[in-house]
Amino acid sequence: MHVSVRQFHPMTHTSQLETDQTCDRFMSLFMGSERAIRAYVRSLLLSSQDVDDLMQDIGLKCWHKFDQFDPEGSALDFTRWCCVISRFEVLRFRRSKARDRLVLSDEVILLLATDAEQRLEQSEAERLALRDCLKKMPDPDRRLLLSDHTAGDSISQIASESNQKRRRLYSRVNMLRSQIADCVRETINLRGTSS
Amino acid sequence: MNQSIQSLVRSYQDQQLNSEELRKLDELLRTDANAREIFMRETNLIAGIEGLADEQNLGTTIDNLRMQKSDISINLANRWTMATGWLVAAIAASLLLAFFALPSGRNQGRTIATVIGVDGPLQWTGSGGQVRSDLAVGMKLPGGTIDGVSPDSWFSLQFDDGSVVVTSGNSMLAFSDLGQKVLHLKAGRLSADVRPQPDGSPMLIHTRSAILEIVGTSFDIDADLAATALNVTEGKVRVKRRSDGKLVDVPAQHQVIAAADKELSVSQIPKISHQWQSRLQDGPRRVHGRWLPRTANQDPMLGCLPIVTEKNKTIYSASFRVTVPDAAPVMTNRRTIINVNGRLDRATNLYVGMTLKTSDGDFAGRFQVVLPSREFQPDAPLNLSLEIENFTLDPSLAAMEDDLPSSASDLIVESIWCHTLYEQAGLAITSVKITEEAE
Repeated sequence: MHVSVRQFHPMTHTSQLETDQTCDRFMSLFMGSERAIRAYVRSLLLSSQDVDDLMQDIGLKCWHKFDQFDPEGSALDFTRWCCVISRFEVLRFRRSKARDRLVLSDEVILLLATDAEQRLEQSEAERLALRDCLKKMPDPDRRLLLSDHTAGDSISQIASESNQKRRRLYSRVNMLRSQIADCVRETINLRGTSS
Repeated sequence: MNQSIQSLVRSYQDQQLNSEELRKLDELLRTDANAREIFMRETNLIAGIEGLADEQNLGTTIDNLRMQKSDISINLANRWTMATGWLVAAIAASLLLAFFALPSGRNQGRTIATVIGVDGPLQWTGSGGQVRSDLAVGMKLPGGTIDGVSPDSWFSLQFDDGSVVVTSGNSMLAFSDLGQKVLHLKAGRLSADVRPQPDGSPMLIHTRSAILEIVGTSFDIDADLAATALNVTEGKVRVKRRSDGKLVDVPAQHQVIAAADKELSVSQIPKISHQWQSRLQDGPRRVHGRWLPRTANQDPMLGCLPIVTEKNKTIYSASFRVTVPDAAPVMTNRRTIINVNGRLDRATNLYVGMTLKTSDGDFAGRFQVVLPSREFQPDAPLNLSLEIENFTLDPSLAAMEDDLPSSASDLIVESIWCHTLYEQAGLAITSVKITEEAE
């Protein structure tokens, strides 16, 4: 049975112990990068459900190619490397889904992918700032902003609880998005000035 | 300008753009780096909000667990372990597959056929108990058994002489060729296009109730425990009923049902119909799902059963066989409407689709409509009326797109299925009907 592993698995000439260590290292790197990879993939796909569909395939693809990753590479190198793999997975996925709905062209997606790979650190800084900005937000506003993505909550539910019109709440969500985007920008600028 | 891009990007993310606005956004992003930067910032913001909502969801689950069992200590690191648990499981599965599922060169015998089409979860068992579930087009096989694991499984095999057999749905087919092709259809559906066979060595197809002798022809077989139904499109097939050894020859455009309790008589294939209705009140016949009988306040229903796809994802599916051998084939046309009634306990994306074949019996693809979760209210009755023009080819068949019809119209409906992804959403179907829109 071990012969099969040598024929088909990328980590061909390793002992079981080495395989375990490789697996541990991969998991450690991947868990550290997952948020950034997910955000990268999200910037190229239309919905978070598409991202859910694809993340498992991306994780496995990265694992299968892990023997090609530079063993001396840093966590950021690993994130970049995974993003490059993800780019092809995204394109493949989009082609299979393209007929379903209106989506951007492959040419634009490739441009966006290149830009996204160049701004990985910036994106991470934005996510950290977002966390701080959300903390500063009043509870009802935070709930409203997150409601569309929170299990068991929705704008409709908030509308019925607060006796407000859904349309009005959607406008408010849009306004909150702009507010939080401004807050993220200001926080990053402030950190840039103070560092 | 920036505001206009921002507004376009948000509408894009909310899937509210029309085709003209999408074209405008595409053009902006293609030509303007600043527009791309705004796009990146906006999508990163949305990804961040979704991520924080996910963490909040996970946190709530963990808090609930803590309340139930105070000695469980779960820290933030564990959250990530939970969030990435699927990957651990998938990698473990991949290592296991690498160890156990792939045939070694030493054991691989002479190949007799090539896989020319594959879709949905399938499993091949070869001699010596080798098992593979990663079948792909172009793979050569040395005989064995093909198991269609779900109602949407589909498999096409070409023998070295060019004869093609196709199984679909929950089928099980054993095949060998030691100078004579011998197939055992243990259950399910098979269609075949058989090249002229050597004198004295016709292809033999064994089912539980009949033995079919094929010299060269096109036909469909549907076999269950008690009966075998055969439709012959071209040529002639000789059928021997196992229970009494009686023989009949079935010519082109004719059919026969071989069952111990039925007259073995050959009849013409009935003319096509454009209408059909499920009959759950008759029991769980020709359906795949969890059948629930009628109660005082509820019609009989077909609930979903979980199916693990070839990508190790779980879907919850219920399906109905439509065209059956002892009734007229049901064909779509441009006026076809699919009505689905039932219930959906939780709003989620709902997939309604049809597995179709050509009038010659060839696989014609799966066409589906995806209804987004926002169209459903929790616990509200499900009453769908879907026009044929809204059905599009299942994206998982994109690689075969050139070989398949471009629309779902003018094809024979083999089955209709409904499914939700990943989590049980309480989908249950009370009736499915194919009708025609009035002209």
